[in-house]
Amino acid sequence: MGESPAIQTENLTKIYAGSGRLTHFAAFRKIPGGLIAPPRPPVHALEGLDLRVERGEIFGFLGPNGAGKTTMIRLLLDLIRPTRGKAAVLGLDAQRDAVALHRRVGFLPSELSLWRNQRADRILRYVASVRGDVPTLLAEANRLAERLALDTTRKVRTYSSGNRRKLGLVIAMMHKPELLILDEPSSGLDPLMQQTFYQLLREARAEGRTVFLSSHILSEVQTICDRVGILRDGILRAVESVEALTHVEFRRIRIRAREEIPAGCLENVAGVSEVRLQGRTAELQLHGDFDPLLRALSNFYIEDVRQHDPSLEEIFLAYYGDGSAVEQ
Amino acid sequence: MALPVFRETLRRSVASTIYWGLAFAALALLTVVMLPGAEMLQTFADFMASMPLVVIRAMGVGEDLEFLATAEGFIAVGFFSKMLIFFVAYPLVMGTSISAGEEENGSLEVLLSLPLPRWRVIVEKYAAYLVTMTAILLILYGGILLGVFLAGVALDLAVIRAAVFNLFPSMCFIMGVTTLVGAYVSQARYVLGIVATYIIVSFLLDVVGDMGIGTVAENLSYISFFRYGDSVAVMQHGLEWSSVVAFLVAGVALMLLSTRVFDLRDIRAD
Repeated sequence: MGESPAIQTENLTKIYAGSGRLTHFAAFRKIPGGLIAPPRPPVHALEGLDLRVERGEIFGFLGPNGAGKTTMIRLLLDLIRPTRGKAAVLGLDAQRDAVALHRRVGFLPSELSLWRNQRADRILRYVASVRGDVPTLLAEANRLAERLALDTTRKVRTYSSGNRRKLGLVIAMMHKPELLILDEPSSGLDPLMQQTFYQLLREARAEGRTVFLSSHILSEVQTICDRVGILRDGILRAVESVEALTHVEFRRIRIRAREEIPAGCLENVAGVSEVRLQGRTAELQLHGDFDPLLRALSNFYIEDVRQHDPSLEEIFLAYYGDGSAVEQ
Repeated sequence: MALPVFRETLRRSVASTIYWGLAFAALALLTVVMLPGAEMLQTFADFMASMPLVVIRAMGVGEDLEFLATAEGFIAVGFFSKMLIFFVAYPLVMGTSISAGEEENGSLEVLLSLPLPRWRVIVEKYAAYLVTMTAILLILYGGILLGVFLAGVALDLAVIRAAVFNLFPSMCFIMGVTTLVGAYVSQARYVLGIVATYIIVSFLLDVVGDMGIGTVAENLSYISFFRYGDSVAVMQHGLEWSSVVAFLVAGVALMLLSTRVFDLRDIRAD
């Protein structure tokens, strides 16, 4: 029998109740005119997610804020419970075997809040004491802190957001977990530190460990991930290797003619879409062969044709249709 | 390392325990130092005897007014009577921090991603705060001893010790209530609001119930926890062990129930 995948979910669904608990008093909120608004309706944060992440890969979970990325991660860590479906992590049931699982997983939350009045080294010692082998873990934590240029003798409240992020990374990685779950990991890190961070992830992969990271930074995913899952409105839209995604069947084409290209001349040309005309220049998206496009332009004197493969961002926008939700 | 959350909670609570303890000790010390002489005490007892019964009862003094003419009686009325409302502020604040406080500030998310079952977070923190509560009461008792030393008064310290010890079960119970509410409600401000309301209503029911002999108010006062943690009665008649045991058992039972409640719900789902 082969090794179980790092992450496997089946029909994983999470619906947040809109009201009904004491914590949802806030749902009864005042609205202009002094009226009380009704409780919020249930939120379908994640809908029937089937996903398999193999061991030893860096998997990127891509989507805008509110897409369900954090909900998915919190389900994997048993911080929240699924409405339907199940998740297995490293062959263990995410809910039933949560404690055993947490021994083998490192986690960095997106909104990292640590004990503000404590020194970082005290926090590291606390985490090490929960995990067990304190001297070994602290030695690794110090090594990581050194690589990330983090001064651990300071109190957390004196840290910049970038330094807090670094401390979170050290906490997540100090026990060399088999699976690293990182929620928006590089936000707040300066470009130099981002490179160090990417290097750490590559080293983890080289050691056979798995990285599952959520991000809305496309370039980050493109740089370090092997595969990517695209999530939108709680539904997994696609799972592809980054290589396959960046070699999709459409290309961006830029054509410059000697005279103005009239509006409408590129309409209804097979494989052509997203046409933008600007005087003598046309920019378009081409699916399939060049021939129909070249025939449509046969009456024009073409000065220049340039083609570039779409970036992950353009693919991402294509998946989303309306790119307004995408954060850059 | 064994009991990491318990140890860390204790480590982080050292300063606050000292501050709380010193505040209560200072209050006790002042009460003892300002203790009037025997003649004044008798005058005070006579004055109290001239008051309507409802006022005497509202002050938490029982039928035995001669007790007021003693130093212990003055301390009972001046310090322990109704002071429980201040003492339970400590378990209210600490009980809130057990889960809801950490959840609200986000650190619970990191803690629960470690190999640590949820119930252990509650049990170890609760146990740590039982230790700090004990330390606070010891500091309080030290304040009384210092007052006795400075003022040179003769006090029956066994009676004082019983009154101080009697605070512990009530505090344990309130921390159990707060822990349970905190396990269900994720926002600290709601926890504080709900439990503080319960404490204040309990206090008012006790005061009004004491005043209204044989009335609905008196019957209602039986649901107030103040009725069962009366240190004045303890100083007059000794410890009521059934109340002590009931509070301790209830406090621990509520804490255990909160582990179940906490285990069933989503963390930071709002």
